[in-house]
Amino acid sequence: MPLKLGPAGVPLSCKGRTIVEGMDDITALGLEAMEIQTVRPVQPKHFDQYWQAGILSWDSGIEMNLHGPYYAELLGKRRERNRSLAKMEASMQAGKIINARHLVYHVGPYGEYDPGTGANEQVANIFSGIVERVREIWGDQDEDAYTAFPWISEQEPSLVGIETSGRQELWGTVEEVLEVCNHVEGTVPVLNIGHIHARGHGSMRTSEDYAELFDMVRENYGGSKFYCHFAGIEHRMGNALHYTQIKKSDLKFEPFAEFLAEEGDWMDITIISDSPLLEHDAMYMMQHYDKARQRLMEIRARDERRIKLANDRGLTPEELELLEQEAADARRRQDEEDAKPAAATKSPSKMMTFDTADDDDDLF
Amino acid sequence: MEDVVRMIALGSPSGEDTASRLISLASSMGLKSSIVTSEPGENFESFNHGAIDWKGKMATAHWMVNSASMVTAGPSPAMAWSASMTFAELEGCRNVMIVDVSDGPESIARIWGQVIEKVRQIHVLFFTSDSLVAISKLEGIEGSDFLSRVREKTLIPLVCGYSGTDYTARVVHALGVAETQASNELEGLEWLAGFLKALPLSGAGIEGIKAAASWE
Repeated sequence: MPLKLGPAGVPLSCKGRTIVEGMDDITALGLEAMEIQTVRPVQPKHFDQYWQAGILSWDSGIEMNLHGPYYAELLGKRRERNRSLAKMEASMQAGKIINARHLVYHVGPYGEYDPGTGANEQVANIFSGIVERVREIWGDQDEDAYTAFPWISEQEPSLVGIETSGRQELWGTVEEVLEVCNHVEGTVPVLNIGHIHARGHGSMRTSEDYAELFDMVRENYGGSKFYCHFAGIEHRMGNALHYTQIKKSDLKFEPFAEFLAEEGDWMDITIISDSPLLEHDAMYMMQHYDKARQRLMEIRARDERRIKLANDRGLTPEELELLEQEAADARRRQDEEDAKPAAATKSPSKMMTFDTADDDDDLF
Repeated sequence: MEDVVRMIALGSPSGEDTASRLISLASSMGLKSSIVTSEPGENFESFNHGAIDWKGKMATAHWMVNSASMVTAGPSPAMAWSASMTFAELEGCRNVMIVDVSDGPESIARIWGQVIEKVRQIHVLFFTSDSLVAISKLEGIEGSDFLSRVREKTLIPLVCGYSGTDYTARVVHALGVAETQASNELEGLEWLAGFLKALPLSGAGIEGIKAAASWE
């Protein structure tokens, strides 16, 4: 299963603070993805750095992604919406230069809309425009540009990711996101697991919860490519309060790792760590995924061995298990039988012995 | 348990930066506080920040204080600024970020951008009165709900600001808002020092926050 992990931003341990230096660190850590935060309006002077990062990503295969403005009000009044779109425009431009595979956006508060069809239609309209604009930016090139940006001719434009929200007053339940993504070609759901967990009052607890979530996405949206965010989160009354490191949260990564290892063969997934310990927690996730996969391989190897053994003896695995169970019971009974006479014959002896239970001082 | 609140801050050797001024105020209020800076004779811009024993310094500290403008003080302070917040996160020390920008719009955007990159590590975000005006203008979110909207979006547990026009300190938390009249000393830094001193001892919930906010 292709699984790519990476931090949301330049790694904290990176000595330099540029994106390219951050990418070097990501490669050294064995991670394969990165999400750049364009939280402030992107200025032209940043573009040189973005282009270098794009070239490095093209050469090295690190998946680059880009997160739009940290604050958006797409369902707000015209003035608020236009301000949000103006900030997004810069990130769309940057997305092309950096060879971003996903551009991730929030929708923001419901504003004057009630949750439901009206709000979803408005979001779908806005995102249709965003997708169109992204395609326009990617297509708007002369011949020379193809040399500078080889990915333009060989890659599809960035997909526009719509992120699930972690608070009740913000648009972005999983259902809402899937509905819009279903109606707008070129958009993909961004499953922020921390947000889903918070909004669902702590719903992501077992590997079955993950199976349900991804089955729902597969049934409603289709496809096998997923883009997720993962971080520890504190939540209350169905609202995310703040991000924490994974170890300090009730949202554990182990069930997700277990699900990915056991049932994730069909998936092509990128998981971005947006925890306060960016790359540390990305590594933590990688270790847990490796452990889960190792455990699964051991279980499968044991099962295969049993099947082979059963075949050799002309039995079914169930019959072999029954036989083994009977043999184990017989062995246990025999051990108990053997222990009884020994206990019965054991009588207090008058002989001096150095082998008593309370002889704790015997260093040897 | 001893009821002494401890705080450390990354500051310049001259002590003229915002975090150092907060530490100085905090010390005068009885907080046990210290400044992490370059060694004597070292150039602060390029000091050996790798030699700082963050773990040792944070062992008993409640707060790690940084000022946003420190990222412009040179490469070493900028790296120490970033490292201090990561170590604080690992050591269980709470990060306090003072947003103290007031220069040209470009530098404000750059500094605020650096702060935004760190939002997940910040526990208390404080805007001085000048920066409150500058950043709300930059974000296009003017008015009294600026702090609430920053909190909603960044999920920083405590977002506070001091308004020099009506001498009001305001704290926004997930459980509610606390507002209090406070002196204009150093753009609200005096109030912040008192708030940080009172908060660890003021009890849980919004009542604890309100009590800490009105420590005066």
